[in-house]
Amino acid sequence: MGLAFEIKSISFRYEDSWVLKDISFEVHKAEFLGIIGPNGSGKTSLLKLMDKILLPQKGSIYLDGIDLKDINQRDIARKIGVVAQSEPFLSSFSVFDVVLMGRSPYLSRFQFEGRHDFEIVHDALRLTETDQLSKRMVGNLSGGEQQRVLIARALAQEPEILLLDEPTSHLDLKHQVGIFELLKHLNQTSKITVVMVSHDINFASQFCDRLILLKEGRIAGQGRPQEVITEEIIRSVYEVPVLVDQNPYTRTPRVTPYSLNRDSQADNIT
Amino acid sequence: MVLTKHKLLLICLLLVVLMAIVTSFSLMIGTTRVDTWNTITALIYDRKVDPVFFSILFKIRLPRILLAGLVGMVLSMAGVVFQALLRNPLAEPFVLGISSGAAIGAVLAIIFGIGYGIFLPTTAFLGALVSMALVFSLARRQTRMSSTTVILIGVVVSAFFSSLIMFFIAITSDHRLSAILFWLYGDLSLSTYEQVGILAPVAILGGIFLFGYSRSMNIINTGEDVAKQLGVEVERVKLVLFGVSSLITAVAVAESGVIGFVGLIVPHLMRMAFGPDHRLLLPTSGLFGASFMIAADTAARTVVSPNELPVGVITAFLGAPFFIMLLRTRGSRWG
Repeated sequence: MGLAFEIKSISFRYEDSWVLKDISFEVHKAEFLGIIGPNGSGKTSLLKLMDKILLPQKGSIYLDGIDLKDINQRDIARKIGVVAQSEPFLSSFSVFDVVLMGRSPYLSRFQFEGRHDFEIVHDALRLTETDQLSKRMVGNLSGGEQQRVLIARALAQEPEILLLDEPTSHLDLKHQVGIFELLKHLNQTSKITVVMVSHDINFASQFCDRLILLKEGRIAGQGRPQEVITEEIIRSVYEVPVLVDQNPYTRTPRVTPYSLNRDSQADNIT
Repeated sequence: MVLTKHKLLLICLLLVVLMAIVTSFSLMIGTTRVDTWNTITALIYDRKVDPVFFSILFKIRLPRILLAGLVGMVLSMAGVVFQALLRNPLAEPFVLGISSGAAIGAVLAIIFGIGYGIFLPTTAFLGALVSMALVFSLARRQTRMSSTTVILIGVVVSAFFSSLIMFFIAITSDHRLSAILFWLYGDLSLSTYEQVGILAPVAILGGIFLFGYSRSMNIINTGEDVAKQLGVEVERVKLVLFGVSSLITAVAVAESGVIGFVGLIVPHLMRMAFGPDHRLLLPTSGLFGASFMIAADTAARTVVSPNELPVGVITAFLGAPFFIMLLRTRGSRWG
């Protein structure tokens, strides 16, 4: 297995405070990598750097062995599909039209989409189970449906890599599981490399092959879920007491935060 | 649903037919009664043509109609582009202060005695660029540049430039006065084929160029980060589109004066009729914009006949209530 990404000691800042400090890691082809960490640890910035939406001030990122700096955005879009953090999508384009936009990196300026593009879009709609919605206006869909449409659009790019930023935030449990299962399915059947930022440690633990844990712009731990999700590491990074045991069904680590302050617990109950 | 080349061509063809109808109608009516039918058939069958009728039809009305159509086409297409890039349905060249900027550029050229030939459109373009730069830099001073702020500042800058033009009118008394007055409200009454010859290539080449970016506009319209992810070089595309739209607007303003709200009304009607796809929105707005402007200018020269109104009065009369209606029903967001 080769490397999809090679991230070599990158640092990044927006204005004067460094958001990411000397980060290095690798992403293997066809792996399912989770990036977890508390708020403000630099997860979203890291994902944007990997898609060249942002540029690092120090260090380099290699995509398939080539420095991202030397690849134009269009060629990146043929390799990487992105599902950004969900914001309300107020558009009167139909679902089909939105997913069709995923074909844009393959089309020249005056070219219209052809049969090949329509087939790919249909496949993407089917895989994400959004084919029933294809004529609906995307602005009228629920959060979970929109999220699926955005994944479908990313798939229409025929990517080798999917980058997702908290694809399940704001979704209910059923839809959260649905999205994770879909990603796992794509990862296993189509060998798509998945890099996902997640808030939910337990889902990440269940579905990811490997985890990278960020704290204040530095890597606080990386490895298989069993290696990263330990009481000691999670407690020190998230600064709350946690119980880590094993999920009896999936045999992956399970995190339960708790509070020792009985008074505040009582407050919560009443 | 999905846009195909055939669907696009069919709709455009229908709009060309509409334009032909509006043009014929406009050619036939006016202060002087002209026997249009006989004049045209006489021309075709090489019979003797009434020279007065011929002059009215082909030296006065036709160039005016053609120029009106081209101006309407340009302003409507520019409106589509500005609305797409700012993601605000209220954006258009006049509201953004770009038309007034072009006008002040042209007025300064007249004041300094270079208001002829290539100088006029050039100074108009510079004025449009200065105005656009002014509007955007003022809007950017806020931490987050909201498109509503851009519109608000555009309207204020526009008012400021209009007051400058008024000032120049007040201090000018010689032959240049009438030349400056022209810029306050659009006026097509002195149109010539020469002007048509300048604007036609600008409108057509500009339209084709902008059409090449219509898919990019669709994508930018759904979000700028998304557009980058899909391989659109957002910053460069925006710069190119703002530049080209300002350029064609400036050339149109240099030939017609400031005609407001066309770029607001026409794209909105087209969006209601054909949906949000810019590959359809841009050409249909161009074609329908031409018909709309020809109709508006026909109204301008007939409703108070034998006197004339500046065509900008007609478009403002229709456009201002339209602007308020859009603001009230849609806010400044896309829905």
